[in-house]
Amino acid sequence: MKSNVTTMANRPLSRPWTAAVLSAACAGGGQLLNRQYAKGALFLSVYAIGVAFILPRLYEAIRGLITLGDEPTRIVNGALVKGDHSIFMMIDGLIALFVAAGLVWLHVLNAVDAYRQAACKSAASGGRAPGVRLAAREGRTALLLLLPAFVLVLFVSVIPMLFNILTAFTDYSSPNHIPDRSLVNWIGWGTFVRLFTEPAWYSTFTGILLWNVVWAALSTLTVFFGGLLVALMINHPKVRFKKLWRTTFILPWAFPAFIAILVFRLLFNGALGPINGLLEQIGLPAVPWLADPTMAKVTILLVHFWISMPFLMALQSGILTTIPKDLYEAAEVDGAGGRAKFSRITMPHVLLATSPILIMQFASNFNNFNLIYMLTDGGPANPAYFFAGSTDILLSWIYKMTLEQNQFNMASAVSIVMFVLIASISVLNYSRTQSFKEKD
Amino acid sequence: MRKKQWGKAVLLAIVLAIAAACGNAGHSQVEPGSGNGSANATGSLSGKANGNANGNANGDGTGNGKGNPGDNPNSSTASPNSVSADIEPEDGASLVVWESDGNERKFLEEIGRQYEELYGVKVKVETVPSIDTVGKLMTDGPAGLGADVFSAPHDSIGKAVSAGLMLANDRTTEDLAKNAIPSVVSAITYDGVTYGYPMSADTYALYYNKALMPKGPETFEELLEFGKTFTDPSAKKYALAWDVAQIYLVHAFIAGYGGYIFGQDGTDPADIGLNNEGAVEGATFARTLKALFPLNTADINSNVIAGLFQEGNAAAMIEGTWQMANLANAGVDFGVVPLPLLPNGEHPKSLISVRSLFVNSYTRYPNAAKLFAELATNKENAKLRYEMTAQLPTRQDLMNDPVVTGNPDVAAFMTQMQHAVPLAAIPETATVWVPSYAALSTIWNDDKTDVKQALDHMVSQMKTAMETNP
Repeated sequence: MKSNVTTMANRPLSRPWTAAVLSAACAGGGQLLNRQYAKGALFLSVYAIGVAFILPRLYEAIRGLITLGDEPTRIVNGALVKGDHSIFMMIDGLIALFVAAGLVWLHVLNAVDAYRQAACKSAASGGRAPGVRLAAREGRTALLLLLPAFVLVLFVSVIPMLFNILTAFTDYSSPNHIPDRSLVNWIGWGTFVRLFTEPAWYSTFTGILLWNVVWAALSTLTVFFGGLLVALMINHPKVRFKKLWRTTFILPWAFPAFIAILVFRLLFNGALGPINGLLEQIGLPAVPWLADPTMAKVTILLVHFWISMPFLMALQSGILTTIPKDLYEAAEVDGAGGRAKFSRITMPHVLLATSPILIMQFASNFNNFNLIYMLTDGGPANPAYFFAGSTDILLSWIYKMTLEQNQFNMASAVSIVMFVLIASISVLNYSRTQSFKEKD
Repeated sequence: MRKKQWGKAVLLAIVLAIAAACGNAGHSQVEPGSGNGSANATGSLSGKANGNANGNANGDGTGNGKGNPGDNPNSSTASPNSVSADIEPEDGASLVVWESDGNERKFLEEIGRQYEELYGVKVKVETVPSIDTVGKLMTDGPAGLGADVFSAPHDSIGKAVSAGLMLANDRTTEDLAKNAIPSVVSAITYDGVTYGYPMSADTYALYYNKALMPKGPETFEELLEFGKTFTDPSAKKYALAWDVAQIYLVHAFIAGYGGYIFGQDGTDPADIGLNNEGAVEGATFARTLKALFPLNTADINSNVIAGLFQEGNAAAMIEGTWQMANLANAGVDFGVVPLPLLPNGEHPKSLISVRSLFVNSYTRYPNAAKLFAELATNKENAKLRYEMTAQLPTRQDLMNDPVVTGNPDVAAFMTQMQHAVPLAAIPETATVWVPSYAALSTIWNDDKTDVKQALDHMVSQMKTAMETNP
């Protein structure tokens, strides 16, 4: 590309800063100064389009994120006048924030590019600057190639998560703040303050949290040790028909949990269920399996044990077979009994291999929505709780608040608190377990 | 190798056998919902308060989980109903109608044929569940994609009116005042304006097993007397099975003694009548019925109730109209009577849910749409609809028609409707379900519960829920 003689062209192009400042003031300016006319024109046109069309919209969207709307939809003289939909504005504003950040980043890039090219030019004494190939070597193509994945992650996980967090700081709830017939407002920490000070919310939250932690711990431990016990029994050399036993115990795992839980619900029915029928026939009193708050919790643990134990049993059977036989033989030579062999050889091996699984189990049991929702649906009813029953865990409580009661802000606040709790427990545990420590 | 294959086959057979056995376990299909009133967000009556898997009167599944609308600060300024002069369909009109799939849709297609003969206007009936029409219109209406005429349960009127989706009924109000059941008219009236063209209604009454009870009881004293000889918990025999902690049903007793959900005919959320003297009396009386059905609420759900009644282990049950078809299919010899009289001599006031046609305010052919709704709800077609769908008609002038009197069960439901009140259509109704289930459960399960205290606590929870974000 031959350049016509301009005032610019007569200047020595050894002032990278001029180019950078030019580009910062008006994208493409610095590139034009560097005589990269095509590039400069491209930048300039993109910049012009952006300023003319995108910036006003971005401004509107970000303003919407701050105000969350001024006028709800209303009826004026019998006609519907569309108003602002606060929640859509919030999501649009979030997206706009990211777009704005991207644009700022591009603008900075164009200024940096102008500076670099100018610097290269003065180094290469007037020749044309090396273009794309240099850029490639600097790894910018890698960024370009990663861009689609980055955008996908942004929309699939980052924005929804931010939206969830932001909701906790609004009054988005039924019956008075459901768009678009009414506006949603920012209320800062109000929701959290209410959660931790208003007795109705506070007592519900602490009560459910306590049961949730107890449930997660107990369900994990019972299943873990139950599975280990069964695996040890099956693996015992004196036990015959190993395959038969293993198959029998794996059946509950093969059975769809959904159906199993609903069947258990029928079986445990206090008045008409077959289990109580059986008890009455052999002269025992009926047990209020699902009617008494404490008994219902025990029933949940029992059903969970039935469903989840086979998986742990299979896992630990596998681990037991990996323990070298000669260890046991050596122990026997040294005169170790069964108990010593178990505590000194079996247990350390099993724990070392399964501790990460324990943590995963704890986290998944903490949020075991299916079991609670389908077996008791949080029941028996608890009048002291707010939108929850005696056996509800945090997650099923959040479900009830959002899908049945439209208390979106409170549900978001509880889910944030829940996330902080689970995350901290998990991180603590992960960093402490043997299997994550570097060993050589 | 062979052996292994066999082992696998046997294993598979065992699994399948167990699956099959479990599939038939119990006495009824497993329900995905639960017996415990997880009310849906809108408290949509057409889905009943207890999200159970029964089809309901309207043949839709359970209630929708759609959010309920906020309060509309500016009340609608629609003109009160004044019947307009005779109208003609607009030139070039054609109508789209939304209705749930099933016989009710076939009925509207039949009306469409009549309509085309009368006016030469084409009518297309599309399948949209009655429960979802208002939600769908919220988005489709303003875009001009909605139906001209749609069917919906009455408790979505509040939502639709505050969104400006419905045109007032200015065609058949005089006819309704003269010929419709009063509670039906109040159900489709919102802020003093009548919106719907009612097609059918649904409420609950007392089913009894003719083999166990020669005639339906007229008073609860009678039923309690009968229960003394019939109820036997160890033999799993109960005189009266019903969903004891659902406010949807308990309302009949509470309102029979003077309690109510919301004052001013269900329009004033600040006036909750669920813990006044009458409500306490009603709930206390409901608890005395435990002698007939000594179960814990955790063990009661609609499947248990229907199962007991079908097996002849419950002599009577309180249920909605939709059970008539189920029982007929199961071959139970049953009868229906209106809910028996309370000890104070009053009729229990059941809740009523009304399904109507509405005219979309965004329609391009309002006249044609109104004429269609009018035609579909006139006396002949009301009769036709009842014959086609077996859903209860809403016209009093059909009460003495052989089509109704020929079926004593339907007549009993029609009588009960005379004593029914519509569920409030205001958004605050959503706050009733959960606290009421908890309170009524403790009252029922524990005889030592102080009824007044439990109801006070429930009302304060409702108020907290309403004022949580003022």
